[in-house]
Amino acid sequence: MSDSGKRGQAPDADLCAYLDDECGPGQRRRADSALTQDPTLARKLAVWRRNDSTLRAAFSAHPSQARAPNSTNPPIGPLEISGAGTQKRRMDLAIAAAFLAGALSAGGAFVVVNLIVN
Amino acid sequence: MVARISSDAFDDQLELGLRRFAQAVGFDPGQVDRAVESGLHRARSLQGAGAITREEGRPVAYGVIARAFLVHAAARHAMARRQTPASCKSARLTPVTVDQPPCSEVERLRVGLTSLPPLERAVLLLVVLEGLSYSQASSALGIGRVECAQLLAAARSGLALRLEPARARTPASGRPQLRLVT
Repeated sequence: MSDSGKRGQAPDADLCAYLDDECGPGQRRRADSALTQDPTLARKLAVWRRNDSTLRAAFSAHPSQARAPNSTNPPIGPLEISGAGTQKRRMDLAIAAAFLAGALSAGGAFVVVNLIVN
Repeated sequence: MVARISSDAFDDQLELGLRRFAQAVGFDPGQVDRAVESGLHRARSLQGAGAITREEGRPVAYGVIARAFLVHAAARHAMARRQTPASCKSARLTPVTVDQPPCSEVERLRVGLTSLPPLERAVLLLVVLEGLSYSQASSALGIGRVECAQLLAAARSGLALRLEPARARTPASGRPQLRLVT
């Protein structure tokens, strides 16, 4: 626990360490004392504890069904840029170009034949 | 008597945890598989080379997913900034979105999570949801232990700000309060 914790005013980071059982025996005693003296701090700890439980329950109950957070933020992008889409688009363009070239050649040949015949 | 977890069970549990974490941070379902695969591959290759133990592979695997999430969250943020209309930028305004109040506590929690900065979200989920120690979470994210505790505190405070006002509005019975209007 930091110096502020030693003075009896556990900052939020110390409160977190207390909640997560990441502090030593001395720090725990000081935090216990601060929590007894400060109802606001005790209330904050209770709220955090409750939110932790809600969080675990929300994602642990059905891990396979857990879904990404609400759509206020859209899902993040792909891990890497996929080349598959680009390749398919190139293939489509090549087919379209070949078809266009064929059509132009046929049209040109038709015009030439018409000119010769007439 | 100490219950020993077989290596297969350990891997299964790790994979389940990685999948849950990837979903919780915000990867969409298609990306979760790749993220989990990348995390497991990294951990297993280090274990195979004898560089780390099986238990040490856990934060490594989570770290791969967490860092991928942070990179893409940053990229998305940069893209969103580029797409913000110039008029909004100059006036320091953000586009208006209609924010429907989420009904259940779980929904509010999800919204609260997305409102947290990515690093805070990652720390919170690693420690609270996945049960990593501060040392493991710090190692996974490449940050110090003190910073980990500070980020966690900020995340918990942020989440409480989102959830508590809604709880105060909801009666203990969970039913809406009706008032006779004459």
